[in-house]
Amino acid sequence: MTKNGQVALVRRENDALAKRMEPLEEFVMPAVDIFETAEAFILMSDMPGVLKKSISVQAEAGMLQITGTIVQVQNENVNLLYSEICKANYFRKFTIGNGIDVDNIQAKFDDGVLTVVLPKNETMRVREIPIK
Amino acid sequence: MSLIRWNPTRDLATFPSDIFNMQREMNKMFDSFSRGVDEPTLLNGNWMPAVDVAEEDNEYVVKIELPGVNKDDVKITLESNILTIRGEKKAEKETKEKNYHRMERSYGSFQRSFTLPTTVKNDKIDAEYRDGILSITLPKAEEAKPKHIEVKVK
Repeated sequence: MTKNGQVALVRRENDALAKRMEPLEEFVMPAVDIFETAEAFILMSDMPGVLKKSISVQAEAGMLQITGTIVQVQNENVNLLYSEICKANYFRKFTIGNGIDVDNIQAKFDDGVLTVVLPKNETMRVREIPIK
Repeated sequence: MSLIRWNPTRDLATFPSDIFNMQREMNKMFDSFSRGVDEPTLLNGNWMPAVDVAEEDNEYVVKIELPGVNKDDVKITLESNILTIRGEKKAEKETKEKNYHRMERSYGSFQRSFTLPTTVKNDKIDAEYRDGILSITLPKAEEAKPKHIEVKVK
């Protein structure tokens, strides 16, 4: 094999390797708190840096999925001296049981925190049985 | 009667992404040794919000992730060129007695400090809190701004 041929082969293998190492889609899992009250499950998730309109909360087939797109402010004159804030989009998926009233799930977003209220349906609710 | 079950395959699904996050974390750690940013220690507070520092033509911008923090609970001080951001993230009071299934978010006090270059206009520092991110704008003094000097060729 000629020298050029070898170089081309090495380059092709490097490219293939680089492609394999690339993650398909980069995202971060936002931190969540999940707690339960008598009427509902409440999920709170830290998603700083996203706009309210870029958040999506979807419930289907026993799954709850939350996503949020980070707003990238691209300015050519900006030189990042120090960077800890993750620039990937938020994504997280949860399994939800049958006890959720899916039609009445509510979500709000304040100060970078997404709150999702998942009301329990009749089968899930704690019922007090009075003693006669 | 727990609603959200731990799903082992979900963690597996994020595995490649985690590896790259880890790599980034390691790089960050090594980078920080050679840079002038004060590394936070655990003694400074209960948690460490993530910070970006950017330099623009006319200003420096410090961004801090503070989701769910009341802006009245944050204090920004400047003392002999050291910018300090400290505050507290309070847990929701009404939820204290509730049954928790997961608790991953950080609560408690935090503090981060940065040594500013002397070329910052100390009296013109501005801070804004929006969508969980606190942005502090530090305008550069005139002498630190980039200048274009035209040189005439004779």
